[in-house]
Amino acid sequence: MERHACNGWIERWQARLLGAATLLVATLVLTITLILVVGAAKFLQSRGWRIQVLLGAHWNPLAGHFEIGLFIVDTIIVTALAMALTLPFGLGVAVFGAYVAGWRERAALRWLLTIFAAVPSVAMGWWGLAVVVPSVRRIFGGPGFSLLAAGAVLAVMLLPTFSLLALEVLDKVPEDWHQASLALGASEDQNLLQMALKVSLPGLKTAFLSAVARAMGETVAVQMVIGGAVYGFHGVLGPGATLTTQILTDMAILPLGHPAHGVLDLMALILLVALMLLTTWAQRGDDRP
Amino acid sequence: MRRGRRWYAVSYGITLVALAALFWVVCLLAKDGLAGWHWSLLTRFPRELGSGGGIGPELVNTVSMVILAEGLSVPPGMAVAVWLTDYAPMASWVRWLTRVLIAFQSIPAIVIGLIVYQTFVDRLGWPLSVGTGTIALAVLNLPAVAVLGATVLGEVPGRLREGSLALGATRIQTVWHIVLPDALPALVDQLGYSWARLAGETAALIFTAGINVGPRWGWFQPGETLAVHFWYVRTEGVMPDWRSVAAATGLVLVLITGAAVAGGKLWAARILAKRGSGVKEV
Amino acid sequence: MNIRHLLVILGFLLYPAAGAAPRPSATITVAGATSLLPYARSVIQQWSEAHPSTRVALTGGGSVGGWYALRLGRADIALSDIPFSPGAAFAERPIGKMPVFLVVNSAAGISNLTMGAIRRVWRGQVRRWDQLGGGDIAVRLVVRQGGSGARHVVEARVGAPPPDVLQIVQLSNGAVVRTVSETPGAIGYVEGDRPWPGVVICRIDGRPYRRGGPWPLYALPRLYVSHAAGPAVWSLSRALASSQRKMAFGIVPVAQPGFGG
Repeated sequence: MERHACNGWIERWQARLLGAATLLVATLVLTITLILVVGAAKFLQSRGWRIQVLLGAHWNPLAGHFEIGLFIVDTIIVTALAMALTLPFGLGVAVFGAYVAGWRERAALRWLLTIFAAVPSVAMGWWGLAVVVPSVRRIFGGPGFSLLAAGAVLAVMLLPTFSLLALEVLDKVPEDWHQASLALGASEDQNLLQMALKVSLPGLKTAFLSAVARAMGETVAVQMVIGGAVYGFHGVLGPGATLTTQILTDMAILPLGHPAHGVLDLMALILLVALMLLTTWAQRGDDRP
Repeated sequence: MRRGRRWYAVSYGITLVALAALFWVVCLLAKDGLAGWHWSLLTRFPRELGSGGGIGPELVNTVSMVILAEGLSVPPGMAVAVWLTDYAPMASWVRWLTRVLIAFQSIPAIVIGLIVYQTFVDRLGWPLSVGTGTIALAVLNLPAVAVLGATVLGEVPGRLREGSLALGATRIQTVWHIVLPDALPALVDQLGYSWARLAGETAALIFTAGINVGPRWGWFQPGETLAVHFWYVRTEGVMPDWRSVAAATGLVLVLITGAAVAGGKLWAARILAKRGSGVKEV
Repeated sequence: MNIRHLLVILGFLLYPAAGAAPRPSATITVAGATSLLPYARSVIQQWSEAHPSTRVALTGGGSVGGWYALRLGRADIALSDIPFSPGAAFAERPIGKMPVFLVVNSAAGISNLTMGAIRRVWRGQVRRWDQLGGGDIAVRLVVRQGGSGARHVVEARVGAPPPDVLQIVQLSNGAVVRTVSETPGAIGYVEGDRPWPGVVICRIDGRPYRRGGPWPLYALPRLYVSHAAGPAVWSLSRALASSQRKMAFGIVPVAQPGFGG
């Protein structure tokens, strides 16, 4: 009986302790969001809530011009380029790993991908400067420092993680289904395209969206190869700047207390909101059977 | 050979190309890094002008900051993970909390850098230092630990918990003696990833840990890490041997992250082997 | 978990945000022009050996960033290439003068530019180097981000490029040199008389730079420090303003007013 009471006491208190930890983390997350929202709101208010701030492309912080439309567009373009390159390669690797490779190759592939997935993004930026930027310049002309180079570097960076996630998803298709599909006379190709990939679609979507999230938020690998141009849009072969790289560039000249510091909060908040939307979208797919 | 396997052949080719690209990155780094390699690189101080600078302090900073940040973020993060899997009520706000944590798990590191810079450097007047950088890494890691921890704990079969509870164990006893030990290999595996991620972090540290090192280690000493030094030397360094210093720094960094991941995996495999639970792929 | 717990934890978390905690003493923060960072790093390293109890944190951020940091009380010493009016609260000390060089990629085939030619390049009127007798290759501008001292010096003389001129923005001298040396046809500017590797340093109006001699593009690096700063800060300021290491970093000493007494 005594033992029981003691257990009850422990049970109550550890539940509270764990709950408190959760509350702490939830508060931290909330605080971060609040700091950004308040900073962004103050900034937008000082600009009279003009939508021009989000749509315009005139960025010159020292002269008081804060329009971040260009960075939003560049972020979207770089992310789209990266995903367009990563998607076919990642799916190819995943299909090979899940259906083609023997178990030895497959174990080796997983090991390699795992190790590559841990290669820091700054190493990818280094490779981008050594290989991608000169290649883009040689093949397509232009200065080499470009949205395309940033997209290509990101694509290689995302490839291992996306392949691994997609491989897990394809792996979960039950063996029976393959057997059944093939027994019904489907060729391996038909089985792959019309059965395996199709039933894996929700999982692949989640993997895809998490890769999008990483592409959007990457900073140094992009900063090293994108060229940092803030004046006007120069096409995918020209230099540009994304939301993340511009935060890095201007963090020091817009410190807290500077009247326009909030524009950095606004840029961060846009990334955070986009991230929330992606997560919600990914989750919704997962909830459905 | 059955007919109609064209896409399998295509996937084979794609895999070769993809692996070639990835090997290209690492091999180029190894080639350039080993070109001017000298073991004393690992112990010497960096040099701004002359050649022959090392990465000793950066190495110490990287390892110490990662250990401290893991120490700060893993206990609360795991507490949240346990709460989410074994204690949370079935409520919509819990689903929302999970969703927010998942979003924060992939929050751009530069945003964390910005927040920590605002709060600790701008408001509290902390210097750009080991301490500020550690805080940034811990904040970056916390949601990831909670989300990945919850995923791993969620994969522990429910029947283990039910059995334990049915035998009269309390919930915390169940978690401590049944759930966590069962999930240990997967947790160790994730910890390896987490180490690698923090060791390779750059964006969150440029404006929190700084781009120089102090004469000795300390909480408020400047805390440039290997990743930041790699970035700094490659893009801005003006020492004559920048090429080999940058590549060697990068090589050491990649070796550290690779070792962290591989170490986690091997350790996890060893735990599984000891347990003798058959062939469970890690 | 009731609402009271929540408020206590919330308060605990917001406490740092309220800015109530003191900043750790015995740390000097130096912020400002990235062109001076290598020099500052080197001086600070030496100074720290003589003052082991004082920590020095060095951060870039550019001239403007450093000046803001000082004014907002977040830096003790600001390094700048751009003149600000220090007012009554701050002291200004010259560090010296540093030439700003135009550096060109060797593929451009250019080793001399007149001030007028530079102005035309900057305004986008020269788009290919053969217009100036160089190689048949496009001109690519490599510039610094806003707030940089070198950019201030150059644009004060030749004006800012119009928006349709393609510019690659880099965050430091080293990055500009690296980019110019690796990008065919690139031209950029760097601050400091140093052996910049891999690039052609242009003569201007036919004259090469001679240390301390007449030169059209000089930046005047200086440091700002609060009059109310403690002795350690002043000691470091003096070291930064008068270190013998200047010449190694291409900074030409100028007369040092104000440090006599």
